Amino acid sequence: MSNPAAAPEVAREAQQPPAAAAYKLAKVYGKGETVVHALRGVSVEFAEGEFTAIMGPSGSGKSTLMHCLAGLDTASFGTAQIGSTELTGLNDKQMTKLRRDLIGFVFQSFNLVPTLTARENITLPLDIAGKKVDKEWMDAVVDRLGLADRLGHRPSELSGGQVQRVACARALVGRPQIIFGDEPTGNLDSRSSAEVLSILRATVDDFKQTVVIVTHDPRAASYADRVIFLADGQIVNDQRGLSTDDIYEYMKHLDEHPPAPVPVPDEQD
Amino acid sequence: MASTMRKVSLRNLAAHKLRLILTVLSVVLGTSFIAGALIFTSTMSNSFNGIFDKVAIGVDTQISPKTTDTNAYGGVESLGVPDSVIQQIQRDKDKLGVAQIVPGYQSMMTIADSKGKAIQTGGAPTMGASWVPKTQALDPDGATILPGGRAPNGPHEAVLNESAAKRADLKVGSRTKVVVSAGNAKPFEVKIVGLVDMAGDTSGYTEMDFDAATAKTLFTDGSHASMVQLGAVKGVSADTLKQRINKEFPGYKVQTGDEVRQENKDAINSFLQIFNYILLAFAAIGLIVGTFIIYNTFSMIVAQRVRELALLRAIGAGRGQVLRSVMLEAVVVGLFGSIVGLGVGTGLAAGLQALLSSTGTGLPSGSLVVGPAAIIACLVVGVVVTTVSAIAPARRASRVAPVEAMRESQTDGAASLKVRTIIAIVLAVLSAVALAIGASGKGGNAALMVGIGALGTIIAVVCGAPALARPVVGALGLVLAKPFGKLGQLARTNAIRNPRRTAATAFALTLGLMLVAIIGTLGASFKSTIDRAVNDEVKAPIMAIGTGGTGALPPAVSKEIKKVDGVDSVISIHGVEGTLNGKEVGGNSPSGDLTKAANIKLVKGSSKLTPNGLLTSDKAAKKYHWSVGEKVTFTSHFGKKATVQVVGIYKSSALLDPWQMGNAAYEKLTPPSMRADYVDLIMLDDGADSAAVQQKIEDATGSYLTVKVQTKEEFANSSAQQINQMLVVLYGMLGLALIIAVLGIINTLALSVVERKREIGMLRAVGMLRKQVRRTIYLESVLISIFGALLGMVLGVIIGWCLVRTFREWMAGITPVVPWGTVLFTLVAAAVCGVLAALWPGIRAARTKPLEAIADV
Ligand SMILES: Nc1ncnc2c1ncn2[C@@H]1O[C@H](COP(=O)(O)OP(=O)(O)OP(=O)(O)O)[C@@H](O)[C@H]1O
Ligand SMILES: [Mg+2]
Repeated sequence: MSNPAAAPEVAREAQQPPAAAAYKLAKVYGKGETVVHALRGVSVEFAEGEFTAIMGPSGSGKSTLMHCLAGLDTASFGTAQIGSTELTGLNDKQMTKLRRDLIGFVFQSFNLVPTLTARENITLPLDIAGKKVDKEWMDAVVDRLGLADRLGHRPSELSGGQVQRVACARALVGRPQIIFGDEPTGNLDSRSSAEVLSILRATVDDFKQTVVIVTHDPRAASYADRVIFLADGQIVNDQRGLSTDDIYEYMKHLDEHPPAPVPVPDEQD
Repeated sequence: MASTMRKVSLRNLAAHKLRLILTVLSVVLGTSFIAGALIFTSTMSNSFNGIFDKVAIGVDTQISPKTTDTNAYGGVESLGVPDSVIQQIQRDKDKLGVAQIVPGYQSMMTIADSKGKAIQTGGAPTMGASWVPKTQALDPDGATILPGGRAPNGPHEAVLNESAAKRADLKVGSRTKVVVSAGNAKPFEVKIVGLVDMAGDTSGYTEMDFDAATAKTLFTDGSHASMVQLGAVKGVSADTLKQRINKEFPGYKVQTGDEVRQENKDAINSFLQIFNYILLAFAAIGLIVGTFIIYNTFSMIVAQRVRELALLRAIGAGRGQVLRSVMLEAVVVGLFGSIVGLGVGTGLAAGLQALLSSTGTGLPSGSLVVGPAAIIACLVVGVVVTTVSAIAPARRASRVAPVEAMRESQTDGAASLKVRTIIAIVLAVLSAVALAIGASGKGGNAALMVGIGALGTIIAVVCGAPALARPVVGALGLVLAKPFGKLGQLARTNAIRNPRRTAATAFALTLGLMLVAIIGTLGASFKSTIDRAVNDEVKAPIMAIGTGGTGALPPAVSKEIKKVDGVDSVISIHGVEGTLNGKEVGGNSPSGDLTKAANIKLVKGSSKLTPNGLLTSDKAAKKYHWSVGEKVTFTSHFGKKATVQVVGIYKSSALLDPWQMGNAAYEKLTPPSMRADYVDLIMLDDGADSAAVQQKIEDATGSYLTVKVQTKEEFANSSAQQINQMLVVLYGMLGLALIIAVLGIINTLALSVVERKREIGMLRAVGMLRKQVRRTIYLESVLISIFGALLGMVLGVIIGWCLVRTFREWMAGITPVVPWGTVLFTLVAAAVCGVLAALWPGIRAARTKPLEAIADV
């Protein structure tokens, strides 16, 4: 690890517009005494067809960044966009439709509606939108995820790994612009975890899907093309092609030399 | 640890205000009706008592005929106290110790208001009586003529109580028409010469007083007094005088003034008791249904707290502690809810009082009486019902295993329904047998059997509804939710996710609408039976009935009708009352040939009624063992006897039961001043224009104020309307059931929205629009409502059907009719209520932020 970059560096080499991007994104919780700066001006672009992992210590703002990017939460300052759509200023309905049509989600837990079968869960976003399910694509995804014989089961009848795979299938089947996962393998053992991650990897390779996940696990992050490190609400490193060991190394370094506290950015910016 | 647990319970209550409010609300519902019922009746009885405290002041002893019902709401069934008694008392005045003798003459009458229509009293009686001048009155502070008026004098002058005059828009100097209800009196005009301030001068009561001589001729046969009031000389107590008079005149009712007042109060209190029972019935429905809501709420609260309770168990809390902590919550909620219920109930009573006095019902107004009975009943019932409802959930809570704290999913509703369902099936079979036995018989015992079957059915529903919920709601969901696609499917699966909860939520509707369906079936069956009977049995195209206080027609009316152009003949149906072998009986006596006006299906003998003959229905003949040619002796209340011979037996029918007596016998039994007609059947000349003649009859009888002239069809309809009026209570019940159901559904939905927060947040995250979230909740609510309503309707119609069958004993030819209109209306109303109930929970659900799916707890 030779480049513990102090300043965030925005990836610029991608030719097409990014699948998602944040510019000077800041998020402040609370007021006065109890104010928390969860994000302090984060700028980042996620290129089409790339697999990105976001890492960082607990409380560094990973989830906050992802929520703001995915239209689940609104930023205090700065802009976030999905494709060419700016999220700032969208009302709830537009935001919901954007999530429905352009974004796929895989959460750490509670991914599926317990009363619906695996198949019904997979097609849920399409059904809600009143869209037709692309049968061939659905079969391809289900096959790929090895869920073909599990489609009639309820979530309570599936293993944790299978639940996460169903969630992946749900995210994939609508062909979203981008898939977000907040610690999608956080609850899984290493084998199931590897299963889910290789599936995400494969969708990137085979279907040119854009994927962004948050993870604490260097092995999970090593599946990604690009790893972004966050500390105290800022990007402290952004690199491509890291191995598991590289990531371990960097995390150790981060623990020993935490980045100097950065002054709060001018909020009127 | 104990105090810690208490702290946990109380903190819990405080932390979940919404949950607290909803639970309290369900307690308030039931208790407020109890408080309202008790406060209303004690307020009413208090104000009536206040009125009757002023009645019969100064009266030491009152003599009245034994059979006379002297309360203000009763009729007169006796000629009264004969003049000879008064003369004898006058003669023995000194010996008896009597200082003053005041005979009273009174009867029901009808008085026209300034527009010529009968004065509306809202159920209170309109009485005619004799005016007692101050100089002769036993109570010098009693009824007083207001300044500007004077005492009545002669046959064309009268005084009227002040409040009635105000209602009728009559003043001193006004002239108006009056009719005495019984006897042969014709309407006549009187001049109001004074207004009276009298005891009992409340919102509805109407009294017109004449001078004693006029009153005597108007209201009695001329040789009797309605009652005689006596004042004792100094030194003779009321009790002593009463004893002396009683000894002298053992055939009469002799009372002290206190006893008269008490009798009045008792009579009015037993009348008020009916109100009390109705309101308490409502309270019972409210409470029974409320119990389910409370149970539901506590179950859900426990389910939501499983992890917290398990954590407490894991760190060492005992089962008993957990149980007590939940029960403590229940006691606090119950107490709080009952106190609020008491307040709401007081408001309810005040509102009811205001409503009744504004609608002109003859009830007095007075300040509210919140007695200890109301307070204690309300608090005790509220706390007991709440704690009892919470026992099962609390026990479930205490059985939470510590490992549940680590578990993700919720386990509520997983417990087996097997035992409940088996009990339900056994009960349902037994109830069905009881209902079948009841329906195949008739009369009181059969009806009782149906009642037992109904009760069993209700308990079976309580036990079996959860097992029914899954298939029925599932099927309903397939049909009703289909058009809504995925949303419909989500709603459907949510509605059957926890069948116990769904069933308990729907129970309010099931019970309320079951009652509605039962009464609705009775109403529809009566109506169709009356319709059919009138069409089949009545030949007369036009009929006249009385609408006054007694519901009878003065006999003079038929004479007026006879004179109308186009009328061929009039047959009046007189009422006959008397005793047969010492037992009270009642029947009819037609003034002419009944076969001209009605279809009689003769079974035996002749249909020609002789003046001293008796035509009897086969049912009465069977009951009294009468056969054609047999002689039967009736005795009247006035001691007169008449012997009649059975001339024929006809087939029992709804209108012609139980027997018809010849005219001569009727006149023997009934003195002229007591005669009145039920109905006049009017036959027209051939080719007469029915509508025109009806108009002419109306004009001719208008001055009698209380005569209603109707065609056969109108008569059938208005009879049905009377039944509909009785069904008003039914609609009150429907309303209450719907209100409670709505609150129960709101409660359940709001809590399950809280419970499903993560799931809803997740649906929002993957793109469900707010309006789609709302729609899903509405649909779920509608499914639950329709399930409850359907169950109630089906069972209610079945029970009603069985009940109607038992009525064949009392109403010949009655056949059960299903009130499809009511059923349909109720189902739609239930669906609408479902949507209304879901509005607020739906909005709350739609506000769920997608992030709540991801956030821990
Ligand atoms: N709703 C909130 N209100 C106040 N502060 C919040 C809220 N959500 C997050 N924070 C704060 O913002 C900061 C960033 O939180 P965030 O959840 O993004 O961290 P994270 O990097 O995802 O941590 P972890 O790895 O533990 O999930 C933290 O200091 C957290 O305390
Ligand atoms: Mg996080």
